[in-house]
Amino acid sequence: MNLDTLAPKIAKRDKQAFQLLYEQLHRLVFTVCLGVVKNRGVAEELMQDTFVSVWTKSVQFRGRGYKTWILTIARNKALNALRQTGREYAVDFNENESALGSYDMDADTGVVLKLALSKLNEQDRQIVLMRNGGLQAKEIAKTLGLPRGTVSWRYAEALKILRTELGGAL
Amino acid sequence: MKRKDIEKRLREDVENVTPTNFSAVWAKCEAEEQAFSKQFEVERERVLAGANGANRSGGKNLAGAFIALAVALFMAISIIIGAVAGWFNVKNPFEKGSLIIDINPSVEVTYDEKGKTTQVTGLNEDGRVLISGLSLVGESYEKTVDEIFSRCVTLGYFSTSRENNALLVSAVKENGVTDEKMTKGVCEIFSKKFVEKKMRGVALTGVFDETLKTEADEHGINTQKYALIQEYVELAKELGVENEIPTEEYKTISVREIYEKIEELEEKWMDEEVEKLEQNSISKAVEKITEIIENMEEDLDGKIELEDIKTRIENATTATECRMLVDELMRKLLDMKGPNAPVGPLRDVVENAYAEMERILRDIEKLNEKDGQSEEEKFEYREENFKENGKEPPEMTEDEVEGWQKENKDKYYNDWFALKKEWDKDRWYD
Repeated sequence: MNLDTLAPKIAKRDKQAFQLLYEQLHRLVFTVCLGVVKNRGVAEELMQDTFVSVWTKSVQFRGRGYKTWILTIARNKALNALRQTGREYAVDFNENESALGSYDMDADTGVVLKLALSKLNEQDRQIVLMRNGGLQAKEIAKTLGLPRGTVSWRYAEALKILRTELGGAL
Repeated sequence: MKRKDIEKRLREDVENVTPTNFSAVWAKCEAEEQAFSKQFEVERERVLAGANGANRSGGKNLAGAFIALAVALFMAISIIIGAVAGWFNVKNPFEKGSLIIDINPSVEVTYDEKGKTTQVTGLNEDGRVLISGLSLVGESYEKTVDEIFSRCVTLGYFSTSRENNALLVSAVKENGVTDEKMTKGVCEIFSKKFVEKKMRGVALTGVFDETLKTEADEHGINTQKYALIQEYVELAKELGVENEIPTEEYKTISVREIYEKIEELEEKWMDEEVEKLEQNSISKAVEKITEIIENMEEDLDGKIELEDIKTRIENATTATECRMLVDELMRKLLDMKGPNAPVGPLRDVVENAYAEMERILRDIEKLNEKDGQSEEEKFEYREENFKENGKEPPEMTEDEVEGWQKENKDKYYNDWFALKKEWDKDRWYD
């Protein structure tokens, strides 16, 4: 489904179109946020804020690339949150192990995701999560501002790291 | 664990942790919406209250009344003197008439021959709110426009944060004439105000079209707004895209929305035209190269097999592909360079093919450059090149091709010898 067709409807306050957009993109938006902040609760909050922004600002969106536009909003929100909270916790960060910057996934979260969040660097983590959240390599490249080749290469490298780590974990 | 398994488990993990609660998001959206509406209402109330307050406070001070009377007398005398002077010396700058300013709100401004406002009417509810409390009668048209613009900013109809702000200024036919001079003047003021306030805005205008009046009246809008909508409808039809302005929205849709929709379709139209032109240029080039190959085949009398490359060139869809195939063709020809090969005519033939391809690539590059230009430049370009329904630019004459070859001689021969050197090197290793 071409999401660009939903943009004018959402700009005209069509709730049904908005819900459709949410169903199509909520997982992806969540994984984009999670890839940055590594915290499930914060990522959920950021995902909701992203969709609120989409609802209020779609009137400003024109042309193609609605999905990339939304994912850029999500990523910017996540980066801002990380920056702000990072500053707040900077003084006594060691006493706040569960704060942003460290992962605090619940017990029901799978091993592979936990490893991806803890063992991969920021860029690789985002690439792996976006890829498995349903985004294609070229779309990831556009969202992160990286060459497409780099995305594919980093993805393969990240999976190698996960495979090595899983050797011990499983 | 295999790569596929890792990806599968990762997807499952992501699926498991992703929240799916739409109602939480929707509640936040509604809260945000309410906050915005409240802010708008407060602003609206403030404007209305300000207007009423101004009415209430006027004319209670006796001294003030005397001063006002003196000023009025002075002004009256000045006006009489001015009118007498004007009677003899100055031609009235405008035709008496009225114009409609559509944003949407819609407001009708009636003016006299001197460009002074004689009446301002709100044509819809938003229009009535927009002008409420403004006393514009007797003011110059510049002042009237200025006040309307300021009110639009206050009520949020024009905003710096918006990608586009747009309004439509329409001349209303009065006693058989429309005052296009006034319409133009008003548009210029709006344009200047947009620049002054650092807003991306456009003031549109159109020529009054009598034939559209009945249809426009049926929809309760003025002819120019109707014409603007029709421009969009026609464009959508031409491009085969869904018409996104149903008739029931004609009255409520804002000029900005129509303008943005037209702009979007024009961009699409431009893209399609450029693509068509590119395809057209390529197919022309392919046709020409094929013809050259056929002639060469005759000249070479079967000494070189060109059928394969001819087929590939015929199937080429992009300029880059064409260029690569021409290079390949040139290598084949270099390979033929020997004591028995018809070097002179052969080289001429290849030079022509090469020159032709360079010209095509240059044209395509130009098209791409134009595509990245501003709206005004694009418009000029479109006017210049697509006036006759995307007709391609004129073909180069033989003299022009020859001229091009002379100009590019050094570059061409550099390329030629570089190719030759490379090819010889490969042959040496073979």
